[in-house]
Amino acid sequence: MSGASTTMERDLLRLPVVGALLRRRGVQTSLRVALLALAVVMVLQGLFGSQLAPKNLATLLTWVHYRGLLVLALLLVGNLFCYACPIVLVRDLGRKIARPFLDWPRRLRNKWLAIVLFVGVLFAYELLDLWGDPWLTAWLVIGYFGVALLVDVVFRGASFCKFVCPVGQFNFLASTASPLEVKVKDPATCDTCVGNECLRGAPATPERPAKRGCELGLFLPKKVGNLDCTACLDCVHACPEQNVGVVTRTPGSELFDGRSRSGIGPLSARPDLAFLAAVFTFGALLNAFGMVSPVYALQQMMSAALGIRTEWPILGILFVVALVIEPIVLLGLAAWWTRRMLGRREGVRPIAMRYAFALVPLGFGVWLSHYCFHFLTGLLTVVPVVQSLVRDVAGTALLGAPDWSLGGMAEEAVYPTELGLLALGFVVSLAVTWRLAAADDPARPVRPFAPWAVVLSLLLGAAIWLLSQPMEMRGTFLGT
Amino acid sequence: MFSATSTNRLSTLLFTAAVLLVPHSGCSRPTSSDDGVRVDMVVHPQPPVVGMVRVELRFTEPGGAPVSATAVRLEGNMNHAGMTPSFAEATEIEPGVHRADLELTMGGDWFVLVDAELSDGRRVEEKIDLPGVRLK
Repeated sequence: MSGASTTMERDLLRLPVVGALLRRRGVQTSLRVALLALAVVMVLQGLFGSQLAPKNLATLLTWVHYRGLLVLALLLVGNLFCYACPIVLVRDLGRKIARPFLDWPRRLRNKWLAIVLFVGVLFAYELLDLWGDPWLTAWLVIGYFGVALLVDVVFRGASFCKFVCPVGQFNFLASTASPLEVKVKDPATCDTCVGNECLRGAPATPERPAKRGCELGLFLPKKVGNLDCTACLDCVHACPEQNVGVVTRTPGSELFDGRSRSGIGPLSARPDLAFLAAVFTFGALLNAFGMVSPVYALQQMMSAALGIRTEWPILGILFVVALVIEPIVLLGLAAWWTRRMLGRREGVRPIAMRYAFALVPLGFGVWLSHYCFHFLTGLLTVVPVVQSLVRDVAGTALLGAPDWSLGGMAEEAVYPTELGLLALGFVVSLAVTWRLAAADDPARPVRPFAPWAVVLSLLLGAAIWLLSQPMEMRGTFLGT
Repeated sequence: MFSATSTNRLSTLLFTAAVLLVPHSGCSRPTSSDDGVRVDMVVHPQPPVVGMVRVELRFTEPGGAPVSATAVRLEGNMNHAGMTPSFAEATEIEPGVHRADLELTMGGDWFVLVDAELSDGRRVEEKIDLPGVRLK
């Protein structure tokens, strides 16, 4: 795969209206301000408003609309929510008061901490029933902003984004399936660059303010794909040659690109990223499993078998099985079989690491199906909540009397969409797997392809089974 | 569109407005009336299942005397956000006892919001938990 621009690529920044808007810093700032204001309203209503989750913006917007819009944006565009992340505003304000004075510790320059936090959020979501608790959800948002501020006023660069933010890691992985990428338009122009402003930024001049370079350490001529890219477009604004664009590409193509990536290195040397890809995929299935009826029967069985009546150990066992044991067994077996097919002395671990990234599109398909279900079936439920809030604040129904009957699409109508999104993810995963297999065995790619096709098919089957199960959302454990 | 200074000002303005306005939103959970009218709910079948269930509400004074209501509205919600609620109007079957059929569309934990106008003009609002709705 060449890094050179092709005639097939289109640069979003050249489009008449969209491009002009994206090139204006003020548009991004406006979005960040708007989302910050929304976050403040959500937090305050979460803390002081009705503690009924369906009637509170904290729970409604976080667990229904934000998640749904996030995955749809990643599918259709890219990392839009990192582009417009309001935490950046808070962080920048904080840095006016306290300038960061440390570099992120070398031993933590990987994804292991972020993986722990990502799993931690999923665990807390299940254990604390965050989806039904406006107050806790508000504190989650506050905590998120607080941790981000603390990290980024101590450590230089975008340390929180790159090494800590669980949502950011989710976005990075999911955006490997996005149709757009921030990349160099003409590599030859970079060959004569001396300032490397895309990475280092540029100092202020009498004509313009200082420009920030990539705070995640991505040097554009060597950047490959969307991993670790927050789409902040600092590089676009910093490049004096305007040689950075938001360019169309084949979704998923970066997952079989073995080149060394700026700020990341080759994927083959990143076991943390491979494990994150596995957690992303198996975590999608686990998160969906937590909302269907069979999970309660399973918890009852485990409770009876182990004599445990508290939730967190049962949940912990499920998490270890789903996110550690299951991936190790499935990926290990597939890698072992692949090694036999290839007849090489290559270890099982590097093979598993290489093919783990092929799971990401299917994992994204599961997240898409799940979050789009909630988003589409609850699409209009935000309307009466906003109407009610405005009425209570203004003393009169400025937006009309709240119509609490508003909902969304019927479940039966959403189900085909869910299956379609799953199928899309499955096909892209198969395509990525085939490309990896073809690189491993150009003469007979079907041999290394087969074990991973089996794994993908098993995961697809599990996902279809999950989506067809009746939903059952309980806030109690074992009915107590 | 926004300079750094104007962005800071707007952020401060929005934050201040939210701090001042949202706590006064008064979107507080409904509580029992101060008159102490008790509302008891019985759901058939037991345990409740997905589909239509029969809800009986009994309104009593603190001393136990039944209280009639002229209008009783029920709103059934799941305890997580994003699901369309179910609505029903209850009719009086005997003094102080009202009955309605309510559709529970999904398994899981529900709550029922009762909004009643008593025959003497008092208003009662009550939230009653309905956990553990099972599949048939």
